[in-house]
Amino acid sequence: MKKSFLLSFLILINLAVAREDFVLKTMAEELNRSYKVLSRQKPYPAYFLQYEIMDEKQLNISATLGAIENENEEHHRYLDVDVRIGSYKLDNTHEIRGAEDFDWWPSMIEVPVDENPQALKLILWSETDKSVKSAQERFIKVLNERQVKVLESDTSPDFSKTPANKFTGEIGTVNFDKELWKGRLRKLSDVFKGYLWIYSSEILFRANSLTKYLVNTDGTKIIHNTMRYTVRISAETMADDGMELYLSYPVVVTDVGSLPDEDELKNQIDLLISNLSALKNAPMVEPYSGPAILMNRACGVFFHEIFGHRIEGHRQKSEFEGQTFTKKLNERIMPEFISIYDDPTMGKFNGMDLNGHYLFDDEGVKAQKTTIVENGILKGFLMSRSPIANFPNSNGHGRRQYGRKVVARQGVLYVKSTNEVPFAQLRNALIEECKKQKKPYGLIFYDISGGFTSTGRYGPQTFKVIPLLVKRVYVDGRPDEVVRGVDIVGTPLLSLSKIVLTGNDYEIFNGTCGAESGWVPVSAIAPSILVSEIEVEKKAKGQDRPPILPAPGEPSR
Amino acid sequence: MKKINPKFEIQNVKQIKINSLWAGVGILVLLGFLYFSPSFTFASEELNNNILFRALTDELNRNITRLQLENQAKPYYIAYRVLDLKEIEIKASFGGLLSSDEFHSRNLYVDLRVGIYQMDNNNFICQTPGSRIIEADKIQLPLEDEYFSLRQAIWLVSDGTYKKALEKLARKRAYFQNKQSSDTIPDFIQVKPCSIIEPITKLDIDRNKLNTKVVEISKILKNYPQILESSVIFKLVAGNQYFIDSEGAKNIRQDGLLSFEVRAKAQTQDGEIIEDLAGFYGRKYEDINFARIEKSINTWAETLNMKVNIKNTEESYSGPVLFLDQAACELFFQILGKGVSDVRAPVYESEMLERNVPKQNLGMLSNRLGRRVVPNFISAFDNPSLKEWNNISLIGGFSIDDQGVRAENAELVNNGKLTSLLMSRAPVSKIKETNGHARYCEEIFGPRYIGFVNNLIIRSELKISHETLFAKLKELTQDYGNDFAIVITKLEPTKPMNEMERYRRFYQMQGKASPILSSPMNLYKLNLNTGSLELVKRLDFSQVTPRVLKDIVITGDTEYVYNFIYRDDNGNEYPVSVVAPAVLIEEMDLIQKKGETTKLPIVSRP
Repeated sequence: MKKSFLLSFLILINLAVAREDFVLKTMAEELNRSYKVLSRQKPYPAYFLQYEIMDEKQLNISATLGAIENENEEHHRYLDVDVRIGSYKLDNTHEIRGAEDFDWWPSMIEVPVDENPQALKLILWSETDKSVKSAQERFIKVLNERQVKVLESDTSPDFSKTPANKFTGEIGTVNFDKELWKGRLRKLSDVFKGYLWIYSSEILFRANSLTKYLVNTDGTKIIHNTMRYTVRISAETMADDGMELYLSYPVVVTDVGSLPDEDELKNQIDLLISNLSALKNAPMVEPYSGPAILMNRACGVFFHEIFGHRIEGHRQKSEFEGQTFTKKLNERIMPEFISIYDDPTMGKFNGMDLNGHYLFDDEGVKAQKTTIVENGILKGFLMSRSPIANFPNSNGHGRRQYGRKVVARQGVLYVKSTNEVPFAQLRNALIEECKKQKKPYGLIFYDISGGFTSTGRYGPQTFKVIPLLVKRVYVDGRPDEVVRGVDIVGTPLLSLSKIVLTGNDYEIFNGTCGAESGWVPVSAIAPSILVSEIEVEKKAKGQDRPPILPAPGEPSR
Repeated sequence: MKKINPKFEIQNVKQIKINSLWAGVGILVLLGFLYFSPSFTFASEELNNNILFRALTDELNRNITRLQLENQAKPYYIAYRVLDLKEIEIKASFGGLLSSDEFHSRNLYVDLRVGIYQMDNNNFICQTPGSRIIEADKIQLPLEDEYFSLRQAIWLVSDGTYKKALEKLARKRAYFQNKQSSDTIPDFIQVKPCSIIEPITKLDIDRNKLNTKVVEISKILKNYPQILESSVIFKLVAGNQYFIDSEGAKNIRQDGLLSFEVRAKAQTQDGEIIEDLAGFYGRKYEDINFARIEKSINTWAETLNMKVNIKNTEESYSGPVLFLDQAACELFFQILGKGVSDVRAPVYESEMLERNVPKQNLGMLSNRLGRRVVPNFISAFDNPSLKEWNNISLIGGFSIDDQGVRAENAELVNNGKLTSLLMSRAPVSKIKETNGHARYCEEIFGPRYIGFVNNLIIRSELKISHETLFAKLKELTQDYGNDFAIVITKLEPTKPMNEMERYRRFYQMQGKASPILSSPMNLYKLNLNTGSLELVKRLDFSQVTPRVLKDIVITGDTEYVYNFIYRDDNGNEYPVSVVAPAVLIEEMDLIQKKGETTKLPIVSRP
């Protein structure tokens, strides 16, 4: 009896393992079969092949003004094939100068979501063939380009070697009470009915399970799953002068039980409405340069845009990039009390989940805590398996959205300070700095929606960060005043040199970042910072009038 | 085979019970009521209780009376159209399930006009930047019937559409200010309001069983080693269109479409890539017959396999061509059907804007009213109210068009002469009425309503049997002096641009005009001596103009029913049905086309 029970148990375990493993096993079989032939293909043999399948299950529910607006559930699997022709030293991924090299159009290849090895193999085979032929064509162009153009400034190899990794993570399942959440969304979104000057509002609930299956000819085999539950409250309105105003409150967690409860969400709604009302009635700010505080979340985005993108590995090598920090290794680039790391292995900070967390990147390399700046001195870059001068190896930052090619990206950017003070003190320091510069006021940036940065040589290498909520702080003691109408602009080297002091109020910004390799989840952890000088420019604004008729339900004007 | 028992319910809005004793009197009263109250419906009470309709009505009434910017015109016409659709989409490939999803969407489309019927903001293309917050023309509505949230959305999009309309009208007036020729054709015609209330549709299908069926069928293509890629996409859409306008029209239309499309890409031994599509369509779930589909796909796959293995090619051909089956239907659709569609060409504010809009050969026969376009033994009509033909469901029809007008039969061709066009509420110089063929058309610079094909039926007075048709073909070909004749059974369906091609067209002005007649997919050489048919590859039409239809010599006596989904370059999709006999055309020119070839797969197929 005991024996048969044990046997049944073992069979069940094996079945479970086999079932989970089926995708990886099929991928590995087809990879090895193809590589055997491709590696002997003359005159352009492949020296590396990788398959990555992203299995995404996503459920979205949103509500507006007490009614469900959208409800859908999808499950898809997408395949990416990476082939390298040539050698580690020079291969088909080498930058081709003089040609539009960016593939703007993602190619999303769907593979079966059920267990059908033959169907999966046929698609893997067909896509591999296409990828190999495309790689061969590109390699011929690379070989020619090396002959007719000048030698690049960075002649490091095109691909680094890395030990094989084997990892089978637990695959989570989306698990929550759908009807409960629908009821909650209806109830919470209903609150906005009392504020008819808010033209559009939405509360979104999203559950996302992303499982990555990765095999390559290094011998790496990985199954890695991340679960994300998101609630986002957002509202839009318009000022009387046509300016579009938007605020949102997003929360991302890995366990549905960690989401804020209904009361907390209601409080956030109230706060959002209050801030939006203040914005709507706020005066416009003219272009300004002077002292400012970037609050913690805003500061995180600030560093992400002005600095984080510029230390992505591939940008140090590309002849089209501005290479702001490439030659500044071991030089001071910011105040000595600032250190910056990118650590995707961090899952939580102060008990809060980090959206940018992962264990293995999209090249099968283990994510590593990377020191970028230590006491103000530049120490490193974010690396994929594309080496750069002085950095021959990956530190597990090669990332992508499905359908794109991998490049080095941020994960969890952590800005740490050794010159921290409580916020109240930071605020006083702002006022003192304003007085020193004879400025009537300084600015505090409370929230930022995002931003963008231009790193290429063919345009100004500037950044723009888009604040959502800004306040003016007067030196004469007048109450702080919400203002609107400006974006933060600047250049990285100058902006970083203006950091004077930081707070000790670290907070997380969880979001998604879009770049060459698509949209990836990221986080930024930072304290509030005081800068002696920041420049703001006028924000582009809409020119439409507010609605002519009052909102239905509003008394006639 | 296990039978699937779907629950595809139709709920009647109201059931009328008539007491037999008072039937006669009741009917008289009813008729009187109908006569005196053209917009009365049996379900008016239900309409009033319909929250969506209430919200639409209340906001419409408010806007038509009060929506006005100072010193600007009020709207003279507003229409709200809501598409409330549920959709199931299942995809599979080579026996593997790619995805199985269900969607529910509810979108509101606003047609708001300022000016007057003679000249309003429509039929004019210009670029108008919009607000990010206050949308124009279209908005997503909440899925639930919550009155306030519905009204909020309707209010905002009406506001945005009104402002856009004002801007467009001003720019239109500016455009014509110093033009010699003025546009004297009205922009919009009045119609008698229509009230048709069709049942509300529900969609209740066991998706798991459907998944199994779709996967089973996709497995068939695994047996063909030269097929490199394949996909099977099953889509079932069911729902309703709700329509209300300021002229008093109020109607609910039942919408349903089922499509089962199989695509495959195969490679010949010399590297040419051949793509093909097999489509099966219906109006509702019961129209699908999986056993018949399986059989058809096997036949289709065999033909594809034969095409992959053919070596025959010809350099060119001039002479008679016989169009059979789908080819005959596509011939009539692409030249006649498209030729009488979208006949009111808009005015473009600038040449550059006009260049950005892809030309799709619509309306090319619009200037031939009253003239012969086909031989005098051929007539044609388009009747959206037809539900089936020869016991085969037609998918192109509807009871009410997208402008809320009752769909009518349009006699397009009478004894060879073009007598009418497919009309929306935008008239042309020679036709000032609509015949209820309007379809919503999303374009780069905003939406329009265009008259388009629904159920195009071709009739012939001069028809012969299939065998006699082939004999006639041989006779003509011999007279011509050829050794062989050409028989075509399938033409390429209109292939829309993909996203990248659309981007290149819009931003880089790259892209080529589409030919009037698409390329043959299944083209055969008829050996005049042996009577055998051999597949031939790489022959394409040369210099086809619409007059090719006038060269029809005779037709077959069997009507082929062809259902398909027309997809245009703007992403619009229209279900269409064409019924046509085989046609023998006296003379056409075909030339060899250069095909792109790719090396065969490096690794053997798994």
